[in-house]
Amino acid sequence: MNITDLTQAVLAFFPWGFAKLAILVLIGIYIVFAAIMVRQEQLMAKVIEIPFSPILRLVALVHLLASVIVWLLALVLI
Amino acid sequence: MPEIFTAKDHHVTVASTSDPDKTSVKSGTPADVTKAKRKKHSMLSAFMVRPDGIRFETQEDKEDVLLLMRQHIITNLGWVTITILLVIAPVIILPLIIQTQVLPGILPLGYIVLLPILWYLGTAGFALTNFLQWYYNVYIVTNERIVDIDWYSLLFKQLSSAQLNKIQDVTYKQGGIWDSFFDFGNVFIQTAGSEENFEFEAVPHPERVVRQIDEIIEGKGEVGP
Repeated sequence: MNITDLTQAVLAFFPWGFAKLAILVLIGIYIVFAAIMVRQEQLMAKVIEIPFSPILRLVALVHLLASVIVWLLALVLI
Repeated sequence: MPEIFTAKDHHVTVASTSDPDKTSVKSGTPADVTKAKRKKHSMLSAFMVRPDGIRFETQEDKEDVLLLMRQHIITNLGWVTITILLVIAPVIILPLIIQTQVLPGILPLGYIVLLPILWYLGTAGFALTNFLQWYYNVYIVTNERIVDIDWYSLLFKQLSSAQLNKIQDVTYKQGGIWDSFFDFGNVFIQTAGSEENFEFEAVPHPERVVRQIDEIIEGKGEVGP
C-alpha cells in the first residue's frame, strides 16, 4: 500500500467513520457510568434498607441494559 | 400529631391511634410499643414518623427508627424542570429541523434516528442520578442517636451519627417565602465537645423535628400535636 492508497483510506474514513467511532466510545463511557450507577444503588440500599429499593435497582438495571442496546444500535445504524 | 416515643424508667407509655382523631394509651417495653406503632408511608415521603421496614447499616438490634427525613420534595424542582425541558426539546426542535431540511441533507438517516435516542438516554441518566441522590440522602432519629447519611456524589458517601446524650442544642432556621409556604427549613444540632455538629438541610416541618428531638432526649411523656 503506497501513500496515496493510505491517504484515500483515511479520507474515506472521514468524517462519518470518525463520528461513528467517537459516538461508540462515548456510549461506551456512558455504559460504564450506568454500571457505576447500578453498583452505587446497591451500596446505597445496603446503607439504608428501604422497601422501595428493589424498584430503584430494577430501574438502574433497565437503564444499564438500555445503554448497551443503544450501543449496539449505534454499531448497526450508523 | 401522633406520639413518637415516651420513656419512663424503661417502661414506655405511648398513645396509639387507629383513628387520627382519637388516641388511647398503651404501656409496654420500648421494643413492644415501638414495634406495635410502625407505620407504612408513601415511598416518596420526606417526613416519616416511626416508618415500617426501614433499617440502616449501623443500626443496633434494640435501636428503633423514630424519624426518617429527607430534603423536602420541592427541593427537586430544579432538576425536575430541567428534565421536563430536556424531554420536550426534541419534540419541538426536531420537526423544525426536518422542516427546514437542513440536517437531512447533511446527516445520514442513522444519525437522525440515533441522536434522539441518545438524548433521551442521557436525560434518563440525569434524572435517575438526581433522584437517587435525593432519595438516599436521609436524616434519621432513633431512640439512641441521630444519623446523617450524605451522598455527595455517586462515588462519595458519609455517614455521621451522634448519641442523643451528646446533643447539647437543637435549633431550626426557616427563612423566605419558599421555606415558609412549603414549611421546610434547616435543623441544626449541636453536639458536645469535639463531636461534629449536624445540619439537617431543607427538612419538612423543622419545628416538629426540633420539638420531637427535644422530647426524645428529655424522655418526656406524650408528644402533643
